[in-house]
Amino acid sequence: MSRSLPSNILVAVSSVLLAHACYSAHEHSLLPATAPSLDGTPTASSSLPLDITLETLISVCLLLVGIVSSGWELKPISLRKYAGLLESGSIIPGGVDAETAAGKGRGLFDGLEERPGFLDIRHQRKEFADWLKHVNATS
Amino acid sequence: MSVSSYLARFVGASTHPAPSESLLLSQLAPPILNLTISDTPEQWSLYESLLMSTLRTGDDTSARLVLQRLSDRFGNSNARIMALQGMYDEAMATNPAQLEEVLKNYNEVMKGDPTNVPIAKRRITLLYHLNKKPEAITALNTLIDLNPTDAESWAQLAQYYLELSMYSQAIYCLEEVLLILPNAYNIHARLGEINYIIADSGGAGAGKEGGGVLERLEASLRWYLRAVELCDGYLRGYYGVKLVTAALLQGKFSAAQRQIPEDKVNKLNSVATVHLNDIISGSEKGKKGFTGYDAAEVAAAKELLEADGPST
Repeated sequence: MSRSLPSNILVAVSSVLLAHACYSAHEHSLLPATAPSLDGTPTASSSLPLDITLETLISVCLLLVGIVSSGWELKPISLRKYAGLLESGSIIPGGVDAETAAGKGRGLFDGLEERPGFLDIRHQRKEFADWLKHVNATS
Repeated sequence: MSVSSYLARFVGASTHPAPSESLLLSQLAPPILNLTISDTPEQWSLYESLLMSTLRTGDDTSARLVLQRLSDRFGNSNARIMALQGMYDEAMATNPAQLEEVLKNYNEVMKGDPTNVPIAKRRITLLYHLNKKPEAITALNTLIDLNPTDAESWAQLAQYYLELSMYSQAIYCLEEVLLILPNAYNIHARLGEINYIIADSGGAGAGKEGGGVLERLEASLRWYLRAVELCDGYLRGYYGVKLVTAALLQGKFSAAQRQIPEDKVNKLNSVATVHLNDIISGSEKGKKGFTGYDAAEVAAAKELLEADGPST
């Protein structure tokens, strides 16, 4: 997976922001214990201040955008694209790794033109025998 | 190596491989036969492919062993095994009398069970091989009547008609294939090829045929364009677009008769050139994502571009 630079920066910055928001929230939770309000009544400090909440939400959103835009290789979901990748041999169907297969592209509908059910085996045998004779004669 | 990695080798190969490739595949027979039989679907489809490879290269002892194991597992009355056995018998026959014997066998089976599709296909192939073409086509038509949604049969019938130059019948059959598999872009390209062949052979006739030629060329262009639309970077499709647009531009057709305006054809021609150039340079440099193209096809495309080069 190759990541583009802007999204890398975005991910880094928003991670720092998120960490900062977490740290702020933690610090804030310690505050009431050390500094009780003057009149002794519980103040609004039991709920998180708006800036920390906003910082958390914004940093999470930015982080998501950064991760999503960081250049995943998406699977082809349109037939045009998928068929093209098959033809050019970039992917091989059936979960086979492109490197282990011979590297030859196989179209999605090649079976319709090869028609294994109507395989003329005698013709192919003759073809092979002729080729073998030719190879032996030239070597 | 495991069953799946062997299978990947066979899956990557076509059923009409080049002889050198057949030899490589067939030489895998001893290690594959030495694997323990795991009785998985992968193992048996590997055996099936191996049987065809060994028969192709004449490694008859391996073929016999593979067939034996397959029939031990699935029984002799399984339709698919019967077809494989038939293929083995066809390959082993040394004289016409023995082939006739195999054919008689097929006829017997078909009499007992007319719905045995694999055997029906073997019988048709053998009939055609024995030069009984009308009989083969009749039998194939019967099979299609019985099983009209089998795209493979329709495509085969189209091929037989094409070999007999019965173009309109061939086109009809391929259109039937498209009704079953509307996304089959290679069949679109095939239809484009047939229309081009008709235009090409009609072009030799009198000038009166001119309108027909134009019509065929435009039909061909439309089929090719659809093929390219369905499959990105389809070498054969772009080759066709280039070929047909060049013919349309060179032919002296009047603008009134044209349904596709000339400037559009011109634009399509240059688009096809760009794509073909992309594929040729990518595949010659062995760039990632271009390695799967057939070397011969790339060379043909290059030749086409070079022949066209001076005129554009």
